[in-house]
Amino acid sequence: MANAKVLGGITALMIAGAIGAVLTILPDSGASQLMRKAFSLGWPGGLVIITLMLYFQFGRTKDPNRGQLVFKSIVGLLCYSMFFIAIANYATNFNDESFGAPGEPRFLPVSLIMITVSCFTMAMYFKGLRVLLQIGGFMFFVASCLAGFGNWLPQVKADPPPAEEKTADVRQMSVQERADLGEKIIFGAVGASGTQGAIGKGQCPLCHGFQKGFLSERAPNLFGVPKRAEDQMKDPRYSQKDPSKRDTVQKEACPGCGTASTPAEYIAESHACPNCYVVAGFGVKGTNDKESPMPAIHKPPIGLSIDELIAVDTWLFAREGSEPPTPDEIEAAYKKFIPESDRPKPAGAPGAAPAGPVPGAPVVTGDEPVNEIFTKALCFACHTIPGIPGAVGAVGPKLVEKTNAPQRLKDPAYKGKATSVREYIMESILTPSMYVVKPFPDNVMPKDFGKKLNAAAINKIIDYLSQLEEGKEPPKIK
Amino acid sequence: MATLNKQAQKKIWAFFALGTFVGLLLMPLFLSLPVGASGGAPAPAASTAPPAAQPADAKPVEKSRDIWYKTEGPVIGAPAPKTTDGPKDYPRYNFESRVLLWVANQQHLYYGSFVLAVPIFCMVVEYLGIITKDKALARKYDQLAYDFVKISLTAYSLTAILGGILVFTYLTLYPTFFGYLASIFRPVMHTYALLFVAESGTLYIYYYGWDKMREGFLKWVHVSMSVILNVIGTVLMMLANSWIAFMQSPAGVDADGRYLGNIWHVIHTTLWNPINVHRILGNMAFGGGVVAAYAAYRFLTAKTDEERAHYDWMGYVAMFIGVCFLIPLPFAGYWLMREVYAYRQQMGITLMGGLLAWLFIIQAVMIGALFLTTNYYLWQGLERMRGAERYQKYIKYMVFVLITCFIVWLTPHTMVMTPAELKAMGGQQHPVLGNYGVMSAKNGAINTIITTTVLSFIMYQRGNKVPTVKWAPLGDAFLFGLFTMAYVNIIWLAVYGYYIPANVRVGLSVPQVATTLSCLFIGVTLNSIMMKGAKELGPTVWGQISVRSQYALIMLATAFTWMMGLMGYIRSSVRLFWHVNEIMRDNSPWAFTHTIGFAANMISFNVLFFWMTILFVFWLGSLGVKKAPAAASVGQKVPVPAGSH
Amino acid sequence: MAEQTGQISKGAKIGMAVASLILATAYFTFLDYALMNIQGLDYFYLFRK
Repeated sequence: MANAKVLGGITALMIAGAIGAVLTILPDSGASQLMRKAFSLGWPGGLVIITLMLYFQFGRTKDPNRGQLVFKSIVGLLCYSMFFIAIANYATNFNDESFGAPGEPRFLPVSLIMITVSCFTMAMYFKGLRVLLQIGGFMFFVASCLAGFGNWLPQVKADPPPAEEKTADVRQMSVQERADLGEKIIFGAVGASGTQGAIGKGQCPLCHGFQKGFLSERAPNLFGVPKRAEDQMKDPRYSQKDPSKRDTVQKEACPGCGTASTPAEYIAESHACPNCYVVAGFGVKGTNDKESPMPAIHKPPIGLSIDELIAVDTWLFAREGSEPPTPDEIEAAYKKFIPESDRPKPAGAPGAAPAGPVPGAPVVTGDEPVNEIFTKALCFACHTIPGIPGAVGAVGPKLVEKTNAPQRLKDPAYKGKATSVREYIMESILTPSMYVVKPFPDNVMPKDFGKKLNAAAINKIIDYLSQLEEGKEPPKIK
Repeated sequence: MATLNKQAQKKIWAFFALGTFVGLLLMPLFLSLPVGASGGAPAPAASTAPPAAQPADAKPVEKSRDIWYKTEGPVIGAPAPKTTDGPKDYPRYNFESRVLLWVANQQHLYYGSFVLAVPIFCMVVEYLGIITKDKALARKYDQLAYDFVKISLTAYSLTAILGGILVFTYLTLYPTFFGYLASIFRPVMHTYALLFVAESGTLYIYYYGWDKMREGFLKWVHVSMSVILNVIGTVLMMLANSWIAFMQSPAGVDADGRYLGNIWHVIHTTLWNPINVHRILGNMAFGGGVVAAYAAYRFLTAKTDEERAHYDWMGYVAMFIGVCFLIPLPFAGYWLMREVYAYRQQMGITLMGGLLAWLFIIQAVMIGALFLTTNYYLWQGLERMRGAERYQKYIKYMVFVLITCFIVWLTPHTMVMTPAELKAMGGQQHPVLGNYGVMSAKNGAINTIITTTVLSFIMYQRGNKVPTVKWAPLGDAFLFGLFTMAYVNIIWLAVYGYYIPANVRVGLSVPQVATTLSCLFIGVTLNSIMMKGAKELGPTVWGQISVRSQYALIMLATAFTWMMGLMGYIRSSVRLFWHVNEIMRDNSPWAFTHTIGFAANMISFNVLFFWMTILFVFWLGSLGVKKAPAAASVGQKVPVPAGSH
Repeated sequence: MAEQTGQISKGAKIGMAVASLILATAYFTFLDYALMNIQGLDYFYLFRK
């Protein structure tokens, strides 16, 4: 007995020494680091298993199953080691989100495979827990396939846009600073323009590609746009001489706004009135390029201020090495295409873009005559409204509501709550998606009229629209 | 006659008791509502009858406008705090707080949805047991329902513990944010807590009263209690959903995040109901998966044939329930997506075409894999029946169809590519394979997969039976015609889609889905009628099924769990860098969006953690059971409910 | 799906199969048309063009 104990002690020391030697001799590579980490994490349990093994070997000399027990402990120890190497691998690589080089190995799911293997190995030898181990192993296997798939796909990590900073006065900045600010607005960070998937407050890369050869399916790739603008303006469809000859749903950014004559103006017009000219192939599907899917950038949900737009446009020019227009020139270009009433307030409103204008400060006061409300709220841009000069839009339905509203309320597809013409109009203004007139698409009409118009203004609109009847003279405007 | 009358009387009493119960239990809810509603009541009125001009000048009550409902209301709450990175707003361990919260949340959700789903099965199965004429079968159903509730009971306390951990994680790691949420949802949170007490009470009476309320009138009371249990459970879940829906699409507050006194607006945000429906269905599918895995586990460890028979049957029923709810799930998902697009188009694009689009590819692959597994299980199920050999020969063709469709289904449309890759491929889409990546082909593929699954199920239903009804040949011919033309129609619509403009094409998916559903409803109904009183070629031998089939069940369960984790992650991460979308910004160092790989690893971790713990729970359960009830289930020689679906 | 049930002649079977194929075709065509129509779209777009 005493002999056995001594022998046991010596064996334990030898095993410990062997492990220690292996751990120290191993060359300093990834694998050895992994093993060291696994050892530092899992040594107490390993010690218990080794003690058990020694106990079986030397403490139970009379047990007929001794050999088997020892063998099982060795299997257990091996599986245990594998398990902790897997955990060490998970722990070391946990925060590895590198995605620089394509095809760079990402080894986290390997841990799951290792655990699968050790589960199934143990299941072979431990009868009592066989089913549990097999089920567990199978689950690890399924998870490893799914996680492997997820790691195999291209990896994109998206940083949040910089926290709302007070936009410093763009006019005081150097050209480079201005361009940097523009890049930040577009991509979220300075220098991010080369990364696919980088996106900033302006949300432009959601649809536009910006580098040569980048994916740009929903909207034109904007590489080289300042130079290309000259050619686009000569396009007969752009109809630079006479905007009323355009084939698009909206001919001009505002009545009398005219067309662009410089690249800066072209870009400003494209931002303020995407519908005015749609690059071939990028219109809303099915409209034959008569209508653009892009929202007007100065309005919600994007809602960039003119100062921000100055920065964005500066970047567009500067990054191609061309001399950007001065802030005043760009501002003048935007003022040409955005009517006074519609100009966004300078940045500083709470939240990033979509938070919208400050509550309690509607653009329309409600004291003006109804035709002016229609103009200021830009209803005319999309709707045809009898009796309102310039309101001949065709993006949305014609607003003869004394005729239309009762029919729509009867439509089985109508899901809203309105029961009268007045309520229907109110609902259509405040929640345009409640009922969408066929064949017009949903989500074109801004949903923020409730913010922009106060009750008095909405009331005036309702008063007017509810009197309009198909084929009858519109009422006099007071 | 007399007995029938008595039965009816019992029912009336039961319903009366039920009504009283529900009334008493929901009283706290009603009591709390007027408090919140009183502030909000004038608001809708204000929107229809326009008030005088803006109260710009100083007035005792400041008014502001609801960010979503556009109504005006008195400013009651404080604005959403602007957090800064630091120990005040974001205290932390030396670890990413968001990941800790992620784990706590996901575990609570897994257990929570399991605990909510199981009582629903329990209710249905217990009811089936009551209305079944066959005594032995009724006993079997009752036993199954009891088994269900027993599993959920252990999980129930774990749910509560995990909920506590979750709240503590919130309080300690995100105190400012949680404080803001709590300030808005104060009455809702208290109602939630009270309902939780009611839920626990009902569950315990329900479980421990099972034997006492075994017969007659008391049994009806017992079933009624399961109804109450589920009503409370669902309300609980909907209240919890209102918090996450608020975070995603806030309402009831103004642009600064100030509470405007109308609690209903805060609860009833635009995404609330779509999320509710989606979650209820998802819970059911998930619950079915977990119970099926439990049955598989018990089947694999079973010592006797009787046990194997019981758990084989249980696994089949659970799988069936799970798949039943899996089929409508995409439609609920579609509704949710549509509402997301209606709420913020940018959010929709981020999900479907932007940053998170790849996660939807993973999801698509998983859906395909789930259907493949379901088919595989049904084919394995044919082994239970003598006489089902006739159908074995069709399986290889079905495999071919399924695999082909699966490959089309997972062909991506466009990928995020480097310019070099783009050049190598010669465009954004592959010249040949690109054709399979478009919506038309995918819709065709998934509908073919589902139709084939329906066909597998019909094949399974017929397994050992030969119809004896007079019009059987006609019925067969009709089924043949229905399925043939359904396949032709689905593929025709898919091909047709390539030749017509996009705005017409999108509409094609509706008749395509309708075709699949026609097969599902007409096919299965007709087949079931034909199989009434059919001649059996041999008995269905429950328990006589391959071990592989049980692994198919486990695969289903694991995949359900993984998919739930994935979809939850997608829904949550689409807020990007906002705590509360567009109102309260996340200024912690972890406001960025992780890579797909990282997310996949985290989801795997959560799934495996959940399964390790619940396997442990199952194992504990099997320790206790070993002695007594094993004999009980051996004792009954029950007719096998082959038509139990 | 059709199964042997004896008694009935092969001709009758083929007849029934053809009849149900026609019936199913009619049903699905109607379904396609009606469901497109509900959405305000033209199912026979390509043929009319």
